[in-house]
Amino acid sequence: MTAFRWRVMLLLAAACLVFFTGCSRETTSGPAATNRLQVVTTLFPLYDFARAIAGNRAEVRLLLPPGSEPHTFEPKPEDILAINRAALFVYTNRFMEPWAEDLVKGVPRDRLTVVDASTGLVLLDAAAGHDHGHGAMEEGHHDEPSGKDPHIWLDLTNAQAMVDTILAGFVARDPANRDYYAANAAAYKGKLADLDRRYKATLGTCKNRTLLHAGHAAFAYLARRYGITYVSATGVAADAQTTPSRMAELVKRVRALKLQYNFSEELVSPRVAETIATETGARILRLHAAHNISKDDLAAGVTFLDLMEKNLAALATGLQCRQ
Amino acid sequence: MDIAEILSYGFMQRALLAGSLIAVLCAVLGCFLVLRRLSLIGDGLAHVTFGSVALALLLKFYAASALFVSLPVVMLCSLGILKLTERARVTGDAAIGIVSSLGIAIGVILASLGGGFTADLFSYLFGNILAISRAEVLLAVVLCATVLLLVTFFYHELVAITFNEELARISGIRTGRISSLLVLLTALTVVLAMKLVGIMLISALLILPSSAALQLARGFRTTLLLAALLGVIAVIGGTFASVMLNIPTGATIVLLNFMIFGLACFGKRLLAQE
Amino acid sequence: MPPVIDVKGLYCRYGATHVLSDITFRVEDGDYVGIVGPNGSGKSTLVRALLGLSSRDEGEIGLFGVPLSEFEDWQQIGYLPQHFNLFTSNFPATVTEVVRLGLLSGKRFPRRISRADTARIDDILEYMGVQDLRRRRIGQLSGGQQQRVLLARAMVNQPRLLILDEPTAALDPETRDRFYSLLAEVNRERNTTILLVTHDSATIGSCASKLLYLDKRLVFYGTFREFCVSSAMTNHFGELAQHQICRLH
Repeated sequence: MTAFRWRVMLLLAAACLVFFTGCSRETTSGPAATNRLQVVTTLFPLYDFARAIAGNRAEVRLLLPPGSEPHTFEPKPEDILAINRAALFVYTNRFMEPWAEDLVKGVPRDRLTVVDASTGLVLLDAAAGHDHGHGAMEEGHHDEPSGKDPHIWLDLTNAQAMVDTILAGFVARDPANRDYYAANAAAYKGKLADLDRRYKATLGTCKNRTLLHAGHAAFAYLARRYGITYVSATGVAADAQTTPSRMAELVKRVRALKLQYNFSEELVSPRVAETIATETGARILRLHAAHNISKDDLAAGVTFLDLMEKNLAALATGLQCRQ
Repeated sequence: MDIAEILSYGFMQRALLAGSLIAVLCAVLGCFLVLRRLSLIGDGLAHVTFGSVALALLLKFYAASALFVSLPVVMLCSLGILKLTERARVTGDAAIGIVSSLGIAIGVILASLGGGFTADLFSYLFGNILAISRAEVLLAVVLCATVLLLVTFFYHELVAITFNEELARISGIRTGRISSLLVLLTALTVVLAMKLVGIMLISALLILPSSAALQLARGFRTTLLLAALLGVIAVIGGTFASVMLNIPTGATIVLLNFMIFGLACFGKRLLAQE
Repeated sequence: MPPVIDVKGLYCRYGATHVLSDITFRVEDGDYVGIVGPNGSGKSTLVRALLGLSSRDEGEIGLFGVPLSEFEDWQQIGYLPQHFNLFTSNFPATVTEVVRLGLLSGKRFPRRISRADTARIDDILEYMGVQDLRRRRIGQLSGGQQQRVLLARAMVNQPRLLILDEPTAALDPETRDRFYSLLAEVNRERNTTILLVTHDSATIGSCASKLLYLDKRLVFYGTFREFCVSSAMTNHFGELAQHQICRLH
């Protein structure tokens, strides 16, 4: 499956190259549609942070269409144009969007500020399908020693730091609105901090401290922040395949810890979770990794905070916490 | 992990059972496809499935029901590949390439028009041999029975068109219909079996066991039986090997399949030297 | 009895090139017709048109008194196409399986092979002298053996008409002569009508009863005797060539 997604991407890259070289000359010389600051963000959390900071004084665009897989993004000519018109480009990190640096390489830095939202944050190693426990690491295999886990935003303190990093980008490009942006950022960070406190409070009361996720390891940051042992079927790579022993271990873990729920990621087929459910009777709950929002949710104006609220509710049920 | 323990898990039993059924199915169809130079049709139709996902999205078929869009689209495209080879003097590999790249291109455009997905539909259309549900085992049984029954029923006709299409035609066989039957069964198998075990495994199971059997067997019937046997050996052996080595099952099966093919080529040389 | 083959005013084209123009001839029951002519003279196109394998632009073709478009009695016809062994060398089929395919034309759906059929396969293999090879893979046989098996396939239904397109092209002279005498025997003993395409006009005279000389149009059709005494043919071919064809007759 990966192989042919790559092929699809190549096809598109070729198409875009044609469009890009054809269109860029005409459009980059023209002025932007409005005088407001133009911001392009890659993934939904960044988009949500940036639009909170922007208020009504900047235009924020989400580059990745809803539902698309961030590792293999397919830019349209319009996306390339948007990046050329923008003054600020925000991406998560080079592990999440390995294509991002190439995408903005052609645009001079004096016209476009590129923000790596993970600046200043410590990235966890990408463990391949093993336990990520806060002090509860049982296994030490790291199949991808050079890789890092990119899902940093799922730790709400990280999210606050990311807001600051993005704010710095806004201020650098649009100093006139410095105070306005700073106030918006502070308000948003307040909400994140508040949610973080509620996570701490709720998840501190759980009967069960193992988050068993039948999917690719997206929630390690969240688990570490709130002292939960995290067990996933596969490593960080979205299309990694699990092994029979790993499946058997998950089943054993569910039985040994008498887990009543196992978790599956939103928007992804819950087939592995269903397999574990068939085996153990543990029911399935869905968690949202937030980088991949559905088209309907985006249209309905769902925010990152909404998604994390839902996650908290699912965790509270699944880990049997007092609510 | 010891074998007895791992066998006590339902998902392993289902992997072995459904995997073996699909191996038989793919091996049998694969013999006809490889001989008709359509071996890459599995891969090609998987590309078309990609395109069909976007159509499913546009028609608002979400999650598992995307299958109801993919299946007819892929079946139509399989007929398209056939028509290209028959009418336009295009070889099988080129026809597969034409249809599959068209499938992707249309898919990309539709996805772009649709403005994004509502879920990662790929994860619904491409399965994993370790995560096969009970309903899917039933699906594999029904699929296998249907295809094998039809192949048995039309056995002589299928062999005849594979041997030589013109001779088949002047034997009074409706070659167009039999060819259509073959590619439609292939499309059905590719889409449904892909949902169970993923595309990599389907592609490998269509080509490798039949290619290995072609090296060794003398007759057509023995080739079919041997291919089915080798496919099943690869699935069962590969699954156990993946348990012992703690590596992903699908890829292990493909690797074992390749080793069997290598041995068959080697064995053929030994037979020839006698 | 209607003629076995009845062709009237046949025209065939590939794109703008006329391959065959205005072909008219009749083949009667029991005839042994040798179709000869230079390369590219349309010999294969003619037999393929007779079988409905290549399209015709104009003209009528009748087989056993039935127009080609309505003809369904394919078990009356055995066909051995050109260069056939090239395609079969890697095909996984035993000799028996190949010959069995020849039985399909005599059956309606669902086609099943009976015990009597198996006996017929054994008989024809014996008649062709290849009974010992029946369990071998077709691709492992020599060119001459393969041709015999393929002839067995074409003849297993005991067809009234046998059409062969350059069956001896890949054979050495000795094997070729044996193959020709086998065909002559089939024609004589089973009264099978034979249409044999060959580039080998020198040897055809030894076996065929009629000659069809093709060069995009019908240059000559008739018995060898007629050919050998025709002054038109002497003018066309020259005395030497005419003599060479007639020498063996």
